[in-house]
Amino acid sequence: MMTKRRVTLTVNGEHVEPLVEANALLVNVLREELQLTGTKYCCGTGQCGGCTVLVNGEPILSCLTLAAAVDGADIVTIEGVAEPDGSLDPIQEAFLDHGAVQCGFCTPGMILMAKDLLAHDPSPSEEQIREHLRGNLCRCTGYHRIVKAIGSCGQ
Amino acid sequence: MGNTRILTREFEYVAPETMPELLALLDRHGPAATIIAGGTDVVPQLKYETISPDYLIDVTKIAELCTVRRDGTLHIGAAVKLRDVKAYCRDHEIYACLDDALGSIGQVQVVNMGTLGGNLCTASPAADAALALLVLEAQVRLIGSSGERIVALDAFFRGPKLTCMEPGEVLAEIQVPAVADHTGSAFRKIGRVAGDISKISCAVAVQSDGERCLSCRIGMGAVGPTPMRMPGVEQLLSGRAIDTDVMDEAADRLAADISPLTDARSTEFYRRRVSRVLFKDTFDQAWKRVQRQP
Ligand SMILES: Cc1cc2nc3c(=O)[nH]c(=O)nc-3n(C[C@@H](O)[C@@H](O)[C@H](O)COP(=O)(O)OP(=O)(O)OC[C@H]3O[C@@H](n4cnc5c(N)ncnc54)[C@H](O)[C@@H]3O)c2cc1C
Ligand code: FES
Ligand code: FES
Repeated sequence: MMTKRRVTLTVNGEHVEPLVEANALLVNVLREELQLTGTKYCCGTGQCGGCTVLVNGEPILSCLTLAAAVDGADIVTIEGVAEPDGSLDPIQEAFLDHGAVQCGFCTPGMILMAKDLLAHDPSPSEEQIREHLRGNLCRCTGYHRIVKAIGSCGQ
Repeated sequence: MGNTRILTREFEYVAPETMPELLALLDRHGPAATIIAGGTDVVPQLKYETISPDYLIDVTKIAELCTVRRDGTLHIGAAVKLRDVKAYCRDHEIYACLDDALGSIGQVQVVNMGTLGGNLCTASPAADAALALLVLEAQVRLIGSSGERIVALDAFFRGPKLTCMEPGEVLAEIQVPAVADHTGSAFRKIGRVAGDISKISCAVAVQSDGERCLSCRIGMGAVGPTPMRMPGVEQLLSGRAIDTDVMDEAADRLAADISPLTDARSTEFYRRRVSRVLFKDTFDQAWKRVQRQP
């Protein structure tokens, strides 16, 4: 039986201290302990980007991250992207306006990658957008509308 | 294949903050311990059940493994994230091939998570940063409880997933010597799709006087048991004026010197044919970078 440890996290601005086992993955702590099921478990091996969350501002794959290893981190999941009053982020609005969401499974990862890209480069080219999303797979949209939606947020 | 959703293996996770603590843990737990840095290779291996540690020892909280400094030689701590190495290289054109290699890594997220030491210690014949560092003639500093040693990178790799590290040793630092004037470098790879690891990769560093290749270093990845230097091709090109005939001759030699396999990603035939082209393109880009220098 592994000993559990308490990790201190800030998740979407809220201080939480879940009790986790040494082999607990961040994706499962978010989804199961913290009930934040917007973060998706898809391939589990780093291939698809569906489990992307921001850790200390940088997108990482929560399916390959031990919760114990991010003790003390500031985490943003898709649930933390809209304003607390429920009004959507401009990127979320753009995804809706451009029909960039079909089944929606890839969308949380795509939106967090878009947030990261726009934070570093407020007016990315189409090529830069595609480059940045290269690790995020979508089986529905053919990517075109996703790329357009993100492009429309550029200044 | 194991479980990709959860880790079924039970282990203790330890994150020492100093080198002496780390070395003591490695000595105490011996083969029961596995080092974890960014985890982008270790966690999939836990899922596929190809490793079964009782202790996972995280090296990323040790400050001295997380610093970059330069005194002529560039010293990169083993636990420095690939994204920080990339940011450094972007500001220093002399390390262009390393910048190219890091930019070619499958996912932005993996660049944010993975470490330079982890890329080397996987000892994958397809490790991208490893190939770039090979043509920059990097060395690694290995530390164990009985002392430390410095090893040239081509002696570090011993085979697929095999390095010269002894039990209890850690990779502490990667050292990149000063790059000679009028040197340009480049890295290119061919994968199946964006986001895949290399099926062939090539790195070149060339010193030129504008017409002749004064000296060069050529590395090929995923076409042999380790990322490898191509000494025969390097000698063939040294001192020669570069034109298409010389490049064809060099490409023939390169295709003869590699030892590719047929595997899930590609065939031996394809790798040998396409290596010629990839090498010429990479060399050309490195060459153009020298010409652009003041
Ligand atoms: C989806 C995906 C795509 C990828 N694409 C690429 C790609 O395009 N190109 C590429 O080159 N690689 C790729 N990789 C491989 C990627 O794992 C490595 O590039 C990465 O650099 C490994 O670093 P890490 O810190 O995550 O290693 P870890 O997983 O933490 O460790 C890797 C190995 O090194 C050992 N180790 C780590 N640090 C030390 C140390 N300081 N001393 C001794 N041993 C140590 C560990 O015990 C382990 O055996 C990819 C991986 C994934 C999951
Ligand atoms: S679920 Fe993490 S990358 Fe696919
Ligand atoms: S909308 Fe279905 S996977 Fe992208």
